[in-house]
Amino acid sequence: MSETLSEPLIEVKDLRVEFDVRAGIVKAVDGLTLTIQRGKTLGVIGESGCGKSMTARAILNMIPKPGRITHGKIVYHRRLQNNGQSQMDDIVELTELDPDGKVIREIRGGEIGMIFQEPMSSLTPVYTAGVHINEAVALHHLTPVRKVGDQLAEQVMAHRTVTKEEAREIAIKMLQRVGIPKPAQRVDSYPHQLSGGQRQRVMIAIALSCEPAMLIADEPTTALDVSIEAQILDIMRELQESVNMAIMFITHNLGVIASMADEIVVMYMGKAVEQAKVVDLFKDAKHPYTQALLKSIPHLGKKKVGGRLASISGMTPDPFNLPTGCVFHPRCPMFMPGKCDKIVPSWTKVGENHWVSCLLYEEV
Amino acid sequence: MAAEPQMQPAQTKSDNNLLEVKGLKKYFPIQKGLLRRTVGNVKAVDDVNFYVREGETLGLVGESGCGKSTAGRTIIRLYEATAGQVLFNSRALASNGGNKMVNLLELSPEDMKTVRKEISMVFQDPINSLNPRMTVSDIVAEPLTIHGLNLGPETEAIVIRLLERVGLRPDHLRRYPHEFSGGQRQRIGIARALSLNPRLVICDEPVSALDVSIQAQTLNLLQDLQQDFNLSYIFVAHDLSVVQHISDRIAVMYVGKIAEMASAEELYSHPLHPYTEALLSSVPVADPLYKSDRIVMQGDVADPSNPPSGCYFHPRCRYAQEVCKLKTPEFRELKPDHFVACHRAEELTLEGI
Repeated sequence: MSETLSEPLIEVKDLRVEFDVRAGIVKAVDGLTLTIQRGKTLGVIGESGCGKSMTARAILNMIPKPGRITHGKIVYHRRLQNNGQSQMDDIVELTELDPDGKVIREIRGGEIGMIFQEPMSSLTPVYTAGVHINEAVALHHLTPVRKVGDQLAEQVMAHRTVTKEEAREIAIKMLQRVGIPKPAQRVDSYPHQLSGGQRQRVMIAIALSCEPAMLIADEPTTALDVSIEAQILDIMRELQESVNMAIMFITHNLGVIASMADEIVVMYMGKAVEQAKVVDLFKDAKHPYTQALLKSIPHLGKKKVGGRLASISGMTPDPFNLPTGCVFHPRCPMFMPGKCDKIVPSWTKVGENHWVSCLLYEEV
Repeated sequence: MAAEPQMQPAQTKSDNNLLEVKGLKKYFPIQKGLLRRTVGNVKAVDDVNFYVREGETLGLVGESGCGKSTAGRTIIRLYEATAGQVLFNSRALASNGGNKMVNLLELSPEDMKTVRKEISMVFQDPINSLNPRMTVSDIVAEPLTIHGLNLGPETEAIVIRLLERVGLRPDHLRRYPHEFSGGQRQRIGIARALSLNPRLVICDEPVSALDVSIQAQTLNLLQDLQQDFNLSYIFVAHDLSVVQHISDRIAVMYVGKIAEMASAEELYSHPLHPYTEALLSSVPVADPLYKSDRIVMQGDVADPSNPPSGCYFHPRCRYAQEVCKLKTPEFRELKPDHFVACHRAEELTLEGI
């Protein structure tokens, strides 16, 4: 891409994640390429099953079994700080790291933080079946039932050398920063004593306590009410500015992403179909899928036109039996017979930082 | 026994009301100790008044825990109400082929069963509301069986017609719920709700669990069915844009009470309650250039077992005054067909969308 000023933090190149299950192979992520810039927010949108969460997992090298990364690279431009002043840049290939190794464990949580959709299940790891979360929690040596303050403190101790008292102080300070009232008392609360919004704030506090270079937010406000959602989004924006952190914001809510992201990637069946600056995407979407997505949501305040929503016909295809050519062609209103069902579209540039994968914009 | 409705002047707007809810309360007791003594109540629904006209959609919106789902369920007596009246203009219970207003809360079990032919329900979670061991055909025909209308071979024809109407194929008849996608499962739930030709359908968050493209298909389907069968809907949801899209009138609930009720257009363009204003302004708008003066409500939704004094919204309200802490505001009709429960509704000028 032609950007000179922005600095890449994570570069995902032709990533493929496959699940080898009895019924066949599911390509959860199929040839995805994207770049996350330092200090910027990249929005990833798409419907359930499109591979957006799997991409996030792949970055943290946390693909659940039987899935695995079969192809591609994830380059992380690591910046190590030695006693504040001297900076060391290092390039790490995340997919090549041992998923249980020392380096990735330093990066997870320490340099790349993560918040999940369900703050309750992320904070109460009593249930061993809480598959994905448990992995991350176990890495930080947390025991099942513990106080909010301890969880914060553990995180700090795992990645920095501070005393127990200092860690508690940091925990209180972090709770205060994310807007929890009476942080000195709340630090001793159990998750069940907090409301949903407060739990999500604690999650953010945990993720931010080590000042990560990047935060992966996987549907962070989906389970919250609109009034609480607005509070959480405000906090995330404020904190991003103050620590210059990149955010990968995964959601299916087009309203939330419009106000959060600098750039957006739209995914469909494991592939990126369009990538653009947020304004270009909402005002000048190129891919028929993006256009249809934008039309299918009811707009608040707008008067009803004919009273019906434009819907995308059909359903997402069976992942074991993907359509030939462009995977979207059976549902596409612009379907060109003989082309779309035969030729796989390539990643085409249609404008400044605007990329699309559709044969309408290709000379074929 | 069907009770005669008592004449109450408030809220009876016209003759074609299909449903009138008056002073409806549903308290869940909080029990403690060995003797399970009641130490308090969760006032999930607390003195709620509204009506639904024939053929219209009433949207019930609010944040989680505001009692919107409980209100829907109490109407159809999935929960027994603590107090109040639910008047339904029943056709099935009328002897002379006309209509008869009955109070659902006082009906005998037999009469209630009869009335349930006229009121059905669509649930939020399509996987948990469909029995995994029953085929689609059994699920959709079950209401007919329960009401003694299952006529063997003819039933299959009815079921096929219903399935085709909601966009499923006849060859889906023998399949089980797990073989379907989320959107298709919700269609099965809708087909089941329509099998007895109801007049009122209570939709409890019917599209919340669905992806946006499937959500649009389902909303369109519900609208088509409403026209074809002259259905009335009570549409419970938390998504304000979805509710605006489908509703004729909307009631906004906050901690068990209705804060405001008006036509969809009126409510969104000229809200009278500060809670409605704040709620509207906090909805994320799918337009990156849209800059709103967002009112971020501080704090959390009040605890319904221990609500604040006076107006329940006053701790989060930016217009709150002394009177709001002391007195509960009355739910009153400020403009024709626009009801609000706020002390300062007359003097405030609030922003809509």
